[in-house]
Amino acid sequence: MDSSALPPSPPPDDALDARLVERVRRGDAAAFDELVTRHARRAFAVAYRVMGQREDAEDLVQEAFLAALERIDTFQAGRAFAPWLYRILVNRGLNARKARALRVTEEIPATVAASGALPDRAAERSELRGELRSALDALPERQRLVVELFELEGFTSPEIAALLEIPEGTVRWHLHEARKVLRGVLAPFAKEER
Amino acid sequence: MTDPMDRPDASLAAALRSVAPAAPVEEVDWGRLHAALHDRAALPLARRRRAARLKRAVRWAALAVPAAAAAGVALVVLPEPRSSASVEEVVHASLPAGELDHLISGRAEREALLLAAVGDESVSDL
Repeated sequence: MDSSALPPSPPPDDALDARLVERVRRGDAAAFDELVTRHARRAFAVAYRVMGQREDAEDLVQEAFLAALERIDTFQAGRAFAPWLYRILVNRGLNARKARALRVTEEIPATVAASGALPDRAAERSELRGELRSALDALPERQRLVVELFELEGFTSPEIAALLEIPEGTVRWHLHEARKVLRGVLAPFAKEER
Repeated sequence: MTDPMDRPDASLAAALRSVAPAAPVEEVDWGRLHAALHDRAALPLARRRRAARLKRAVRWAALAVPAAAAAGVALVVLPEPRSSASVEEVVHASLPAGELDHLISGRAEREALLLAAVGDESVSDL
């Protein structure tokens, strides 16, 4: 197995995934490796949104793939593999966070902090980031996940609904509420900039 | 016109990126992660292979056992195929020349022809 790097995620192909799942059911290790190759990157992006830390996200990806292997017989033929995998991943991730009461605050890289900006502007940006971070952390867990997956990872409302196992209307409601809070934080800074 | 809820908010996304940076996909050692997953999946996959082999064997047995039983019953129950040769041919084959004429002339005992046909050697004494 080439272990240098995982190639970029290949395009979605539900029919290929279904064939690979069928082979995995019979214990085909090569088919399992291919499923990992096809879905690991996107799974990692979702895991990172859930866990907030790279190492935790990597562990979660592994746990999710192994849990999927364990439950592969329950996967319904004719359905897409990726949302099923992400659902397992998100559920395990949220449970892990709950169990560990994990609350990670990402360090903001120094380079992001207003490069080339004037000192008062830099302070303002720093304040903005602090308030935004606090507001994001204060959102209910699923609401934060919904807004991050939608705004930052490019998931659609139906996709988020599928992976969180909630109705699409609920996703849109979470998105609406989260946007309202976050825009409320941004608004005063936007006015000052004008 | 699409619903604003259906598309990302660019300014909000830009602000969020400063506090929730993109997943560091390039920092992950994918080779190590893939190898670890490969190793951890080896045992459950081996169990699946064994279960699949067992399932195949059971399926074959489900077909082969009734077939073998049916064949055995057939050997016991079905009679041996009957000879299509006539009595005359059988008697000709088993009697010395001239004996047949003696038997069918009426000079021999009544059952002698029948006994000769089934190969009873005492026929010559009759």
